[in-house]
Amino acid sequence: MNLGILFSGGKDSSYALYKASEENEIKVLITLDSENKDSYMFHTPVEKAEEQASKLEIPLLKIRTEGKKEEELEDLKIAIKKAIDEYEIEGVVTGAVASTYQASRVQRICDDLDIYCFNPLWQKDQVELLREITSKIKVKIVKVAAEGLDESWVGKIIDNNVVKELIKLKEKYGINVAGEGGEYETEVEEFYDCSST
Amino acid sequence: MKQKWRNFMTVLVLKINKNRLHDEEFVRPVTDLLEDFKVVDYREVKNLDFDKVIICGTALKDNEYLDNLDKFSWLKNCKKPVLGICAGMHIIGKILGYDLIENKKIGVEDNKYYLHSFKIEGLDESLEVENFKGMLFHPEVLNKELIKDFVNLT
Repeated sequence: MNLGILFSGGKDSSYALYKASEENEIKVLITLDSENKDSYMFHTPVEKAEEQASKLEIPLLKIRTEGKKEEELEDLKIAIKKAIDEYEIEGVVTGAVASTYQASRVQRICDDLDIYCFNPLWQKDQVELLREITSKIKVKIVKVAAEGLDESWVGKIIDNNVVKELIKLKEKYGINVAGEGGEYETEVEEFYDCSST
Repeated sequence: MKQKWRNFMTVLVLKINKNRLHDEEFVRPVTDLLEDFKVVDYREVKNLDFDKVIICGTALKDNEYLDNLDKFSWLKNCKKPVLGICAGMHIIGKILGYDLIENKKIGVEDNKYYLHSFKIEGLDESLEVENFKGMLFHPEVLNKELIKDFVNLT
């Protein structure tokens, strides 16, 4: 199936891309560049998305949005419609894991546009998912914002030892190991095995 | 850590989605909660050596199962507990002689996650007839304990 990926350049959408590319054709990466850094819908920043798209040799469709609640959904719909018209996609893939807010809104847009919606990371256990992602993708911590995470964490590549340390911090401070609460931000450095993408 | 319930019975997990990528969204979140299970595509059910059945849901746009209801006819004579989730409830409804009507619901209501295009005429969001149980919402998202109850208590 021809698919478009809702792509932020972060670890989850990158891994969703990895999973989707195993048996489908990825026609385009769709990126919403939101001015609202606190958007519930879109991960920011997205600067790395362009660089990654070029490395992966997949076209990038980037659309700016002010990030106002509900209006940003209209912008997302416009972007997906454009991807349908220009790249003939039959479905979109998201990196949604637990957010029913995010998932149901994308489901509604896909339903309106009569295309499939895929959420391959849906309901995954956060620790298991982080381990899985970091076994396939080189992920670097670029920003920290939580108790227990000081500047020494910036620049660390997430591997098994880092996951273990994050689990310890979860036990001590209650942080989300996968950084879903904004505890840390990541950049994808590279896919360890690009053969499938 | 992942929630997982010890079940000492083999659960046949029927997948009805067309694209394998949807396994990750409609089948894996269910099997992540089980210990002893076997996932089988609804078109390939051969061995009926199991203790319970869970029929998973599928994508809003994926209605292929409705054109292949004959593949589920074996369920009519099944005396084991059967749980149908969303599209799985549609299938149970059809097996029991109910009609489906268009009814779209996407999102969370009363702490239940819904994603469906049809409902069973005359019935609300759940069904319980003899050994058949149906849930129009997706318990594997916000009501995982209901799957635990089905596996361990029924």
